[in-house]
Amino acid sequence: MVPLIDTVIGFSAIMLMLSLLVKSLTSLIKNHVDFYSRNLQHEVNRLALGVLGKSWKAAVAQVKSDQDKRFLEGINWERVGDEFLTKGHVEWLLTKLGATGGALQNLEQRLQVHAASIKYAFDARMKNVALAVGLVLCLGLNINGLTIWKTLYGDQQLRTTFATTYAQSALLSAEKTSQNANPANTPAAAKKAPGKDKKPGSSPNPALPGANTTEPAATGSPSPTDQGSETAQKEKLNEDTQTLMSELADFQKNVNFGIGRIWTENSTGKTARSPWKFFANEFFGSLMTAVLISIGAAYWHDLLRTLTSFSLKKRDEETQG
Amino acid sequence: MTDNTLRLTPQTFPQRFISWLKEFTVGKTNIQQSRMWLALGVILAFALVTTMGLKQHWAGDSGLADIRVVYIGASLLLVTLVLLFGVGSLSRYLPEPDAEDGAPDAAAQDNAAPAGAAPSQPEPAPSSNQPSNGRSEQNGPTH
Repeated sequence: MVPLIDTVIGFSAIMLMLSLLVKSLTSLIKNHVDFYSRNLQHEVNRLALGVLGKSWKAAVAQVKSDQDKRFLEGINWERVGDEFLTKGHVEWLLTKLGATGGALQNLEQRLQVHAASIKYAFDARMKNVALAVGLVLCLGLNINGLTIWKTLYGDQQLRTTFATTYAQSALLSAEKTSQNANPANTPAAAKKAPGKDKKPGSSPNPALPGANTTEPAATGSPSPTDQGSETAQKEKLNEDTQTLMSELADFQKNVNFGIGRIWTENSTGKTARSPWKFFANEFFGSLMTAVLISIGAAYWHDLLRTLTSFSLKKRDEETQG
Repeated sequence: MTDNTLRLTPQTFPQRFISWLKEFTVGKTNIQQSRMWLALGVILAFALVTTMGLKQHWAGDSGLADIRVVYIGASLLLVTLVLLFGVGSLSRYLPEPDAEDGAPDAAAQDNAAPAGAAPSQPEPAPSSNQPSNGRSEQNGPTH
């Protein structure tokens, strides 16, 4: 029983470490690629169509005031976040576009529907990004969960090491990551990615209600504050990338028994006799590992914590017995 | 009023893949042609790599070298499919570009009454079968 539990703990620890790597890589990609702006623009367009009966662009083209028109045409969607979809802001903009009181009824409820659509699309895409990252990592490096499991189960020394020291280290890393993580993996957080930052505490746009000016400002060149912030973000990204590479190298060093067999195996071994079996084992093993670390990422930490405490309890009982 | 210009595909992953394949036979999906040709090219390229590896292996020359080629081809194919249909240009989570100068907008502008004129006629009811901008009408507006 104990070897099996230790194998499960070791396996969970390795899967947890892989999940953390996938999470870090996904986070880096999220910060580099804008997965949000087009969905936001699209939903605002749909809202305009629902309220005004015409698309945003057509409505802006019909605005009479030149100042308002310049401002509305100058909205940079890549710099606008969730805060754009508040009732006050949107009502003000729609009024500028010619909406009347009747058309603005139930605006808050409509906004909630559109905001939910944006969030759903963003979350779903991020899950698919995580799956793609997991596939690239596992298939590229040929990280095979089946081999890892078999090796852990068959090698007592390795099993003990992974069930104790490595598991503790994985748990600590997971807790550290969750503490350092962004408050939420939300579209709003994504909008604060490098190059998309807005000045903290400022109104999303100075021309919105409550601001002192109505000067169009959405497409202007970045201020020194923005540039400083972007430089700091770039430095942080570089730092994160280096940390990730170092973690990946450590993982490869520690779990080398389950990695890269398809690249290192020579044709004189037993695989020469059954290449298709070897291929199926490596390909589907890596595929399964990718799915486990991408889709099941949320469960490895809890499973490992539960099993570790259970194992410690059982060892104490055996020692006392 | 109609939202023809803003329709998205409410299909699941397999449905969208089948819809994409149908484009080559009946030409009735709402996916842009350029994206489809690009995606088809990439997928065919990786499928070709996989097939070459298989062919070499069946020719009986060597074992692992060909298996590696098949592994690389199959991996690239899989990752490409996930990226295209789950994240990228064929993803249902990525909105289609809005047709800014499409029929509904033009109709809305045509209906705009000049100053002092009598109010225009109300817009006709949305027609669920009227094609717009080369897109089919089988899909509803959703993510």
